[in-house]
Amino acid sequence: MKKIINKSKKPLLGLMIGFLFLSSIVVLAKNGSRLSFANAKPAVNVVLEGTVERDNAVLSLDKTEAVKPGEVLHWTISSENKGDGEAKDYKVVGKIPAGTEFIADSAKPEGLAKVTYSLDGKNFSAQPMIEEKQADGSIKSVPAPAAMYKQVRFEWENSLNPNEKLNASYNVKVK
Amino acid sequence: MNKRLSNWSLRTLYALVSAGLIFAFSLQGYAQTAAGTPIKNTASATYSDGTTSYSAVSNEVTITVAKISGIAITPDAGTLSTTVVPGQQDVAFQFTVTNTGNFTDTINFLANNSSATVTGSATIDHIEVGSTTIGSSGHSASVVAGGTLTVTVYVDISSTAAASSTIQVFLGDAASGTNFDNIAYSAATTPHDVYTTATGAVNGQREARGDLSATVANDAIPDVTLTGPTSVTPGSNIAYSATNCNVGARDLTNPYLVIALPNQPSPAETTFAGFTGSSTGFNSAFSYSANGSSWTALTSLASLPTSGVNYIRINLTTNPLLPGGACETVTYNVNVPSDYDATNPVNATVTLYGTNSLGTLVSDISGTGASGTPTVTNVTKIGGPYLGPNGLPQASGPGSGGNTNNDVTEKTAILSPAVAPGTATTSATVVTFTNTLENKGNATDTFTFTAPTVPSGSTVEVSFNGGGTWVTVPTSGTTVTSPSVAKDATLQLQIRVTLPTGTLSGAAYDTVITATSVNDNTKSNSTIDRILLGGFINLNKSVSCASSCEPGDTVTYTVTFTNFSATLTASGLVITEDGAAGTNNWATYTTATGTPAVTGVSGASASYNVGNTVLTSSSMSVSPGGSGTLTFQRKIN
Repeated sequence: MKKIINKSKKPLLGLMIGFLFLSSIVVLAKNGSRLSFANAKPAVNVVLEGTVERDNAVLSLDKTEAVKPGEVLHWTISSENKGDGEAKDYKVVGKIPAGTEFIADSAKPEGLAKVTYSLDGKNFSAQPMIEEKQADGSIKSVPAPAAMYKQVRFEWENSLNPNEKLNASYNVKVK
Repeated sequence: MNKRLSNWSLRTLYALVSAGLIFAFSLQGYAQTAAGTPIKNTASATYSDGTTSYSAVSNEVTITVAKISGIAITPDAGTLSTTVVPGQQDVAFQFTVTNTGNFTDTINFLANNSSATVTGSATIDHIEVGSTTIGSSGHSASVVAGGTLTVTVYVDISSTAAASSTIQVFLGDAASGTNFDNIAYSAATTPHDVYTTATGAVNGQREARGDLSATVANDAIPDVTLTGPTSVTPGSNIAYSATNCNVGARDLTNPYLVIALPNQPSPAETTFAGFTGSSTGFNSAFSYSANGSSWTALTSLASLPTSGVNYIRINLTTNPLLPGGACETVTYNVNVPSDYDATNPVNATVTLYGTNSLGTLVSDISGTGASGTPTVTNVTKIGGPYLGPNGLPQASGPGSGGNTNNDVTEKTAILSPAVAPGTATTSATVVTFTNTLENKGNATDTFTFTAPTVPSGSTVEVSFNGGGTWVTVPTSGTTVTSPSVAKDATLQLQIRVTLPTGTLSGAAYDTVITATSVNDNTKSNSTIDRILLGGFINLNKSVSCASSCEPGDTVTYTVTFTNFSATLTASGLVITEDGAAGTNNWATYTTATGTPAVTGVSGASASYNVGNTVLTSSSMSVSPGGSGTLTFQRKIN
């Protein structure tokens, strides 16, 4: 039997689509202040750039032949959400490359972010501790020097929305 | 799955990781990243959409570490942990040369000692890199990044280096830079460089400098002081005190004292009379020597030989070492015999010996200067003059009352023509005596001469040179002094007495000469020089008659003869009575009667000539002070 599309049903289909759309809006409205589609996905692109301070100038590492022990390298991690969904619990980890050491208090995130450090690449803490043997033979837990950090992690409070960018930077010194 | 670790496990994990991290950190804190090391970095991100977790990784950035030269020399402004002493050889000034670059480089040292300099009283002997001495070709050593070389500069300290002065050694000659390290290499006009040789580093060749100082201290310095009394009485002890000190800064090892006994030729030697007071214990542990080099040990003072002992040696109580600043006093006696010639004082020296930190035997002699000066003790001088007749200075006077002060030398002054006793001389009479002075005091001496008793109106002179020159001898005072007379020696002298005109003959005229010691004016001795004027036989004639001396009476003539000398014997005395000589006329107016007789002289007689006009005695010998008579009788015609 031939299905007859009752032309009078087209407006009903439109209403259903509209209803769904509005429902989505409501869902979005419940989840946050921004509108998103329930099937939206985040897609963050991370770019790493490095520069070196030399002779009162800042030179890109791309354009530098070599760096010397003692020189300060400035790392910038640029994140951009190219997806259509929020990137929630966004965290960025920067490494302290072998041959360099972290410069204390040099980690600068854009926006509100928690900065933590790791000595082993697994455990992160705002103040990593190490066990230090005292003169009397006892063991005391003391803050680890910044030069021991292996990684620095930035954790943002807010999601990285689509088309949004975030930067985080930190400095290391060539040993 | 329990995603959370227990607290204990967490702590353990932290401990294990931290321990490893501490170790790793301590290593990585000193090492640069090696040249050519690629520095690679990537970033990562995590996120979710609320349901699904996502991750992202960045691009990788790579940059290479450049070649960097670097050199450091330590210490800078360092100080040796010990002082150095003058004359010390091969003092090690040790430096560490570090390759502070990030690649294996060659460090170069100049020929011989040129890479180092020294200030102060010292010279560089040689430089060793490790155990290799830098020779005329210099020295190069390959050193890995962070590696080190031990470089030792061996320095000889001058023997005249002053205490408290500084010896400073520089390795390298960099004149700027932090700690004078790691500056651009530049070969100066007078280079003393230590530098890297690789030319491919971005900062070129580098040089550095280190410096290390040492303070000069005095090594052990012996210093001995000997004290003793300024005078000593013959026959008693001199008490000496030797203070032995180490006035240096280091120990004087095996210190010992050598006492040189101030001897004179035997038998008047000084002798060692033993250690005294708190040093008494040394009397059982000392040595003696005749020559100061071969020693004989003794354990008892009683065993010390009576001769051949010229040196005494004793180890100090502080042996085996006398520390810097410490002293030890040794006291002992030396006996001065009663017959010691006090002409010269007793001069004593001692020498303190020991070994310094360089193993050198060092010494100090008491007194000042390198040869020392003696401690002087004067032996009390005691005078002992004897003055007497020629060759008999110790003669005593005649008779039971004789002593060395009334010994007498008699000389006759013959008057021509002979005159009767009591006749005044018509001219001065000069008589010269020879006397002998002997010095029996205990030292060379001189003597003052006086003539406390002289014949009235006479002058007395003395000559000490056989009559060459004469000086008047005063009755007192110290204006006339003899030449020096050694101990036990004699001096012949002449005394010239001039009796004035009008002196009565037939008498003895005494001059007393007194010699007084200048060393000891409480000692003097006298002698008498006596002039027997007109000979020493007096004749006195007397006559007596039995009654009135008329014709027919017997007249007795008595001739009394007297020897008024105290020492001379009149020998060959012949008395002659000539009845017709001179104013005599008894040969004409008398006739011999009776028998002539002689008394006072045993065996003497008298006899007439044929005509009985001349009576002659036999030859007689009349002893000093002796007398007699010759009597004969004549009848008056």
